[in-house]
Amino acid sequence: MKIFLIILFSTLLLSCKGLVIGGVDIGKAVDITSKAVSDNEINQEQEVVLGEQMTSIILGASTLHPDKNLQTYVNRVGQWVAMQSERTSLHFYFAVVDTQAINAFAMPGGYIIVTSGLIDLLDNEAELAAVLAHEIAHVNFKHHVKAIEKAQSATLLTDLALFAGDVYQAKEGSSDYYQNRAIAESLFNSTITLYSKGLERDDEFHADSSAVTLLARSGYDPYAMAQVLQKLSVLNADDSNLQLLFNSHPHPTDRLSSIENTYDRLTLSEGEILSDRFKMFVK
Amino acid sequence: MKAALFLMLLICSLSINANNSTEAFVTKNVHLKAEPSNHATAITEVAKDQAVVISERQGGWYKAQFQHAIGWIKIFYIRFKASSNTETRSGLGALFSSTQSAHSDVTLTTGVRGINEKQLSEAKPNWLALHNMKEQHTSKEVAELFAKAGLLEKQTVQYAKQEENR
Repeated sequence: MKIFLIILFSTLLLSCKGLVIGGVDIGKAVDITSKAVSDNEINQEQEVVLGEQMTSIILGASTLHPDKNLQTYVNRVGQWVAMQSERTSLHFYFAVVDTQAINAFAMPGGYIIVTSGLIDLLDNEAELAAVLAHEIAHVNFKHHVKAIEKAQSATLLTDLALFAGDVYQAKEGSSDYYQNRAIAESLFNSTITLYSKGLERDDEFHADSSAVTLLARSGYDPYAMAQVLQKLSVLNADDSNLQLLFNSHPHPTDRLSSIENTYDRLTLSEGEILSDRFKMFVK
Repeated sequence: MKAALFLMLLICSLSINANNSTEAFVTKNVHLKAEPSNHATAITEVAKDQAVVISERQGGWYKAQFQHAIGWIKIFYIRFKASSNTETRSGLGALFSSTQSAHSDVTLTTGVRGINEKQLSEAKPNWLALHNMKEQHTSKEVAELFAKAGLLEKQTVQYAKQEENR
């Protein structure tokens, strides 16, 4: 019966191709949803929409930093590093949120948020690039998408993708994002769980290791990643500003131990640090 | 008067040195190297958990003083003492950077507003902020020019082996 319903639903969706209602391209949304129904995997378009939803929730927990020059600077550094990753078809977006909390977040589809508290901890552009490279690596290797796929039942994953399709349709100024409360809550809960509890330790170590390569490819000092981890390691885990960081990531000393292997395996050039340019934008 | 001036200068100098170096310890038995290189001569051996004073970084090496000897130890074998909740970061900038931080006086205190689990769970989606975030997007062309201005040159570097298997 369930299979029959899925087939029926898919057929109905497919019959909508090319249909535009109220300026909304239903056909495009159907492309997204029918793909999800058929292979139960999130494609890049769905990933971007899903990432937008998650980003809006993270942004709802803080506020964007008012310094436009700082935002532009972080976007330029981030974009340059992202261009050295494998997913060049993605548009990467970066933002600084105004909080003394020390953390950074990557959302599926290329959305990356870093706190001003973390930027305050840094001393040069290479270290900023290291933080962003770690988050870019999470996007590059779809760590969050895989975590959702692993945590959710197959049905719920399809629902999430369908929901993403709904949101895509409702994008043009509609306030109807939460028409399906159950699915909305699933998405919301997935986001909170993911960003409160964090990814698997191996994914974090993987992102650290990949960040070293991305830094080196970008022409930055590749050891800036190890330096950032040293800085994090001296911070007190009991500090409320670090609560989320330490809850969601392995301890920096474990990350330092893990990343040593990466440096041993790579042949690395010196790279740029760019302290002066960093100070021009980070006050 | 001259002696007093000399004394003041000496105190200032000692104070600067104190701010630019930091106590740490080594995580395993290591050699204190004459240069920041695996191939450099070993000056002496530093046993696990021994205290050293770190003054600067060069690539993957920290310049370290052990007793009366000064040399270099790999960044991975050094751990610094964790800071207290109320410690200012005025020392940290000097501790780690080869340059002085322009914003090193941030105080880490408890109870300051930040993103925590509770705030996340109470968050409402902020679509306007998302829109503004997307407005800040930098094009690849601008990023290329930005990199060029910073003398950043693309390098060909593979991922370490563990990534290739994923």
